[in-house]
Amino acid sequence: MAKRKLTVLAVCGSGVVSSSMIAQKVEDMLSSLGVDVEVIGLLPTSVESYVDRGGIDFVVTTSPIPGDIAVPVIKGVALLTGFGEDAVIEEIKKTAQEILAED
Amino acid sequence: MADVILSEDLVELGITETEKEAAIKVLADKMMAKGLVKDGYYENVVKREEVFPTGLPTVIPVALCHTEAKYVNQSAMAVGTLTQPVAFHEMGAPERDIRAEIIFLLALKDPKDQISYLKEMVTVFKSKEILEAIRDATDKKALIALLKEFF
Repeated sequence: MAKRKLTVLAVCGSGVVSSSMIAQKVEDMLSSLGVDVEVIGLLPTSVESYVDRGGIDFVVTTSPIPGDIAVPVIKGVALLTGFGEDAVIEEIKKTAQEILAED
Repeated sequence: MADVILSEDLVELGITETEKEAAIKVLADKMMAKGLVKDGYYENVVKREEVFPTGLPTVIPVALCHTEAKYVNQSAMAVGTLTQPVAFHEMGAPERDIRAEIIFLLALKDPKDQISYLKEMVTVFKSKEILEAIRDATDKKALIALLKEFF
């Protein structure tokens, strides 16, 4: 399913530490599906306006995000703990595939 | 990758504090004593923990405390084990608490340069064997040797 590149926001309280941990996972799992992906780390409070500017396909977060987010938001803490990780991986893959199928 | 200091004098085994603030302080004081962090580091780690909690419901629960790079002189990690589990709010679900048995206190000067380090931390979080070995460690030198296999 090599189509256009997906752009994903990885969100955590610092915008860097746990988001970098999940970003790496998201890149690895989507790359293994042949999906080209760019992951951008961001703070929760910046997400709404960033998504509203367009170009973001979905969000994976370890923090609650304020506001009304116009794209799918996936809770990613399980990617750090391993518990419930398979369900999150499935959700990310499914979300990516649905987005690409719509194009 | 930029170096992250990890040494015996940044380890405390068997912290007896029962409140997370006091437990974090034991480790933050070690960072401060080595000049790795700046004034305000501890206060901001605690403040940040309230807003963006870092308790992880791993197989052995841990906390991954940290704060902004501006309070950091040199990248380092302190590790503490707790005599009794200490309540931390859960990352991503602040209404819940986890009972941490290990605290990892990070001071990262430029986390974007340390992504492979952060990635290795996830390997540690997911391994029951490694977390048990950290929790049950009785010798700082042996613990550092174990951690250095990953970092």
